[in-house]
Amino acid sequence: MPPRELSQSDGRVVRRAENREAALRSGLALFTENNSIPSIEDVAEKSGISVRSLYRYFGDASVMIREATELLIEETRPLALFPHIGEGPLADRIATLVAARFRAFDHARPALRATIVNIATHPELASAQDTTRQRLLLQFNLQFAPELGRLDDDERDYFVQAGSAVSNLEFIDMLVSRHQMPVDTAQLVVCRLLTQVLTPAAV
Amino acid sequence: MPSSEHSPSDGRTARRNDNRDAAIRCVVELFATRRLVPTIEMVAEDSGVSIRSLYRYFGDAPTMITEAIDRLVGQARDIGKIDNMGEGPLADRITALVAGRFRAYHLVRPVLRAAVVNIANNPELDASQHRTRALLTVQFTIQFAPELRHLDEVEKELVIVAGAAVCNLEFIDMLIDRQLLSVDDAQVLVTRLIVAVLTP
Repeated sequence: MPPRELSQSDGRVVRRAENREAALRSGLALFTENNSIPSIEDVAEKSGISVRSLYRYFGDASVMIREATELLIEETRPLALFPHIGEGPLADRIATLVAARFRAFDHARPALRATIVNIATHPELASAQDTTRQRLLLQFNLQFAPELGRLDDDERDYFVQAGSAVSNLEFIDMLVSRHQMPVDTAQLVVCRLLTQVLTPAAV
Repeated sequence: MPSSEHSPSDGRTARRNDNRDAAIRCVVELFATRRLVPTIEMVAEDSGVSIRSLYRYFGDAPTMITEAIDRLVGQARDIGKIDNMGEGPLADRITALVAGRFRAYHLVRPVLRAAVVNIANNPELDASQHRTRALLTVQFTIQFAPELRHLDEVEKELVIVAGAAVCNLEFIDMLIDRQLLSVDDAQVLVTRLIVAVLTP
């Protein structure tokens, strides 16, 4: 049977999905360029999609920017993943996790800064951040399960909190963007800090 | 000879200083209520100082915001000071430095978020924050000079950047504000991290 041709209504669905994605990418670009939430009108001008369509897709600018940051997080997610989680010598596991965090940081960096700047005044950005933090926390727990499994609950809490704090994307951004550290040096610093945090748990 | 009476110009100067102080206090209060980019008009409404006077004192809102942040940071610098820097056992020096940082943190907490928000579009504030960060790094370097002097240059540099990063005020704010640690837990965590950084 020959493939079914797209009906008029299928075409509309495809066009709508394409327009939505184009709008989200324009919104994200404006967000990172200006460090502020763009208006629907600004996104319309940049993307060439009508204001009316944008209001129909998103309702308002805050929903649009939340969806835009979620899109970026989904794109960044595979970069932060790695195989054989929790396997191998501690030093290798630290190096693997840190390399993955820096790959994710490199991709998300412009929007990360804009999110950090705006999160206090736009709580809708917090949910995407929380989801990311929870995923990274879970990844940390799995990667260092051999060390964490030896500790009592209080000690484990400390190691997880300290290790997560020195390897999360906000800390990396702090080193690179605020302390103006070269990325290579920042990666070395994060590796060392994680090693110093986790080594006592390994013995 | 009787003391000279205040001239009208003394009165004007005092009033001007009082008004500036009121405006600065108002900016910090607005920060605390998460209005992180106050305008001249907002400050005029809350402080009772006229819009015209505020423009005369500060020129524009970014200058007013920078002055408010700098003033609080200056006060934090004073209460974050440590006596007998670089002296005594390592554990005591770590405790003293961390306690100083948390005292300072409590004072500047409302302006930390505002600084992050405003810095993106305010180069003067950015420069001022860099100076503060540099001062805190110097404090760390002096406090732990006995340990640092045994290290070669490369190692010393790494220990300083890592140590300075885990006890700066932004890091403390991340622990408490975003990782939702209690202040006590955050203080224990920072202390242990510095021990880990400084202990070979």
